[in-house]
Amino acid sequence: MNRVLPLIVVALAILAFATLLLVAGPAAQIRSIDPPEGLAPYTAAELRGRNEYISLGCVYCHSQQPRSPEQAPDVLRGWGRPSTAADYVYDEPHLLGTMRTGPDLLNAGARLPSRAWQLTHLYQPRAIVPQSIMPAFPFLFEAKEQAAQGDVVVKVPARHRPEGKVIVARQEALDLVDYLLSLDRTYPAERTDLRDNGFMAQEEDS
Amino acid sequence: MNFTIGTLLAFSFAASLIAIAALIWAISTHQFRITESDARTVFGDEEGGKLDDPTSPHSDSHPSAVDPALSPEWRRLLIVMFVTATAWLVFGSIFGLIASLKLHLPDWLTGSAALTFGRMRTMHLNSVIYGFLSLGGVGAALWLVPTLFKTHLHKPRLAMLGAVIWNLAVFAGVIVIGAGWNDGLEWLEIPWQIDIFLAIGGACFAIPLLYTAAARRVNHIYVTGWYYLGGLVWFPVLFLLANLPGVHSGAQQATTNWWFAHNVLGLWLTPLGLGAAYYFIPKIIGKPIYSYRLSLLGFWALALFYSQVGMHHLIGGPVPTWVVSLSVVQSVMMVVPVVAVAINQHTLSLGNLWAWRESLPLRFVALGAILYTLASLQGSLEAVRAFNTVTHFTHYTVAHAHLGAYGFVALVLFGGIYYMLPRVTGRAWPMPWAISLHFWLVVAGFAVYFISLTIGGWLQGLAMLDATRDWLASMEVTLPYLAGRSLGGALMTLGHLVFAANLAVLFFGRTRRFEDDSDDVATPATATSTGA
Amino acid sequence: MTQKRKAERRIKSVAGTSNKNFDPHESYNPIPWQVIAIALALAAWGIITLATTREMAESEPEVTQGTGADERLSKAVDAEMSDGRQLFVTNCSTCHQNNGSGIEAAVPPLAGSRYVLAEPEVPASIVLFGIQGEIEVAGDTYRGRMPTFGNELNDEQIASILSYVRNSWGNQASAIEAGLVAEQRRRFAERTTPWAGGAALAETFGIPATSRPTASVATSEESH
Repeated sequence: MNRVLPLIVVALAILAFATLLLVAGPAAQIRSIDPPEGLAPYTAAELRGRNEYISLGCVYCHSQQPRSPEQAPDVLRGWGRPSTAADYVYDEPHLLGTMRTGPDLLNAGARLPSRAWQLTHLYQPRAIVPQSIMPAFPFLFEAKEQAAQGDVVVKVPARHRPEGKVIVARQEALDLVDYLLSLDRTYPAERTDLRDNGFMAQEEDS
Repeated sequence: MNFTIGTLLAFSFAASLIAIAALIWAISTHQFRITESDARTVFGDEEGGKLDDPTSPHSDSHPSAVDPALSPEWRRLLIVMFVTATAWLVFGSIFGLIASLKLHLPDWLTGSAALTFGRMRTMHLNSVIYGFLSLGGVGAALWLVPTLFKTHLHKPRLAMLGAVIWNLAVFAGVIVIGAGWNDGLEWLEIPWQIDIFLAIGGACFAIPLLYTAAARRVNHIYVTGWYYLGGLVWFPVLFLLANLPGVHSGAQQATTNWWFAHNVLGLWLTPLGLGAAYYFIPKIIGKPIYSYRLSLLGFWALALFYSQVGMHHLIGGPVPTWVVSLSVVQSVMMVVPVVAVAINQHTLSLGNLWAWRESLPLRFVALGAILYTLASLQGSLEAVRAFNTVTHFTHYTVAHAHLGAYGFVALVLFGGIYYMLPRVTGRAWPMPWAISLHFWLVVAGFAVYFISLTIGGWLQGLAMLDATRDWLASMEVTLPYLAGRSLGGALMTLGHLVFAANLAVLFFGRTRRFEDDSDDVATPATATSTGA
Repeated sequence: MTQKRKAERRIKSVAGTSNKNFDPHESYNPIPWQVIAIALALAAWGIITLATTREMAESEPEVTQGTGADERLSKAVDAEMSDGRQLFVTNCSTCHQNNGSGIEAAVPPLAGSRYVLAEPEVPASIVLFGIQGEIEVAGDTYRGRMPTFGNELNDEQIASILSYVRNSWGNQASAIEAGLVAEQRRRFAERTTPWAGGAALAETFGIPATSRPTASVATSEESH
């Protein structure tokens, strides 16, 4: 341990080995899969909404990866079947998330398909779920004296909106809802080998 | 693929085991040409055996003047590093506190997109990781590497350019995140266009340090140097691979994402923190670490096992079973280097409790080192599937991340800065009581923070696994603990403001210079100095 | 062996001393045997763990399909969530709320709703196919979309939810049998889309789309 160069070379070699295993390995397996038949690419509006989702940091509270029934009751909660790598072929960047301060959203569109519900909920979550701690996003909406032609008016209980005004969704809110409604992986799972099945092993052991 | 996954898995784990066995054999049979006397490298010719702490009135050594080896450029560089790191700490704490409050006061400050939870939290993370911890950690390296190598910092102007570029890049990154532009990946939110400048800034730090290492005047590289050199070559590779635009997507991107995110802790912040702790603990106490050979095991086992960790963040997720299992096992193997480091550092610091009473910097550093041990052991436990099923997706993980990044790295940096700045500036800390106040505020605050989130997260996880309870119950159960976290975070933020105030007075106030009262104690020529 | 003992003694004495002058440093400290023992134990655990998950890694297991019921799931439901209240909380309360109040201006209430209290075939068909379109409940008009539950829930589960809803929050109506739900499934086997609001329900079941002018037709308008 008295020379700089060997130390650096070995340190880099170890990292290269890890890269091969943890970056190149999964990439070789996952990147070659075909998109499932039931999964459509995102539309332009959905992609804009997805960017809104990223920009507002929704991923820090909402996961998009239901777990298997062997591990957790995600299916019972209506969050959908356990997802596989094939369900994410159009996702860039991925939005798997690691927190469930809010519920899983991989099938939000199938579970809550109402655009009106989603818009109201984004404007003021507590208008729908009184105990919710989700942020309100009033800046995605406009409070107007009167709705103009073509405006999407959001139903908001009077106590949650400025007096005498109507709440109208901005394009950002409409796009975000388009994205949320597109979240639907209820088609049959493909490539079930490409998910963490480690809990099935434990189930069989016990 | 013409090989089975099973053989790949067996091969990779076997390779790590063979490597670690070879390492233990090599250490045990003296294959490495290091001796225990190399552990004394931290001491100067006449140092050691006494408390060395510029903040303590009882210190046996007198840092009576600014280090004569410090060139003006080098000194200015270090001051810029530590001052900007502290500024990022203050900003990052405020962002974090706002984000924490928003989780239990959701209708507070909802008027602007920049203030929404998702952005505040992200600005917090990037400010403290790439601002405070990275700048502070590299700042410590820029002082420690030349000091240990008994030379001066080579190319200090290049490093200064790096400090400027890095700061501007982090600033730009945090601003654009607030404005809504980010890459969408946790720990990699800063857009890759700005990451290019972080990479350039990082290179401007690495090159002077490598030049300095090449021009060293001692034969032996002390363990601190191993960690710093390792971190300096690992981080750029990780950062570049993970940020390559257009290469990663879908579930595969998630594997790269978490491999990177965990290695930012394991192969960047941990080496920065451990390197500093390996210097400051023996240096302040005045005695070498317990077993220098053991530190070899600690370093190389960390490199071997930590680099294959990270996929446990995707347990139960849509990535292949084998890659998750491999990370789980390697996470648990991390116990080996952690125990090695723990034996080395804690036998020394806990065996010299008198020094904890005497030295506030040591208190910060040694406590940080102990929290490193706890965070790592907790991390190994959290990677085990049965345990992870409860804690995954909950605030328990957030508490754990802060135990590592704050309890360990930030505390070590606080102690290091308290030790280094008097030597760098030649000035004594103007408000010694503020150091103690800072210590107790952040320790009490962090205890409240960690205990609240750990309990709240665990209850959240149990509720989420209980099919007979509504999912909302798992959120509602956390509310009092989220409020507790805000209380703890507020105390920590207050501590950081005290720290920043002390720093400000050091530079701008009327502070005592060591030279002023050094005449009757020692002349500068005979004063002990780390760089002599 | 003597080295081992020495190392042990050393650790103990170092940990126990507070003597300023004690120096734990010595010329040769071997790797404590405890460290090697830990490494060996962990390695053994790792090999066992990897060996047990290896099979799973190479298999393509049956994964629960659809968003809802497979056999395993139905069993779990029978065991843990047999009663309609649990099923309601899981599937319906996000929108209709735990107390059936719905959400002002967004989701219709279930408490006192004439669609809930109508002939059993009406609520059963609504749950099976969902609603998309204008619908008037308790004097307010809603334009939402209710999901289709026919694929997610089986006949018994739907019957159980409806029996609960029809006898909660002041509602009083007959319980619903699984057989009746199955009957509606067969009756509308061709149907692939949600009911297009109150108008479609009026057309199919004869329940008036509005309660205001001639409410006398509805059987359960007392609550208004």
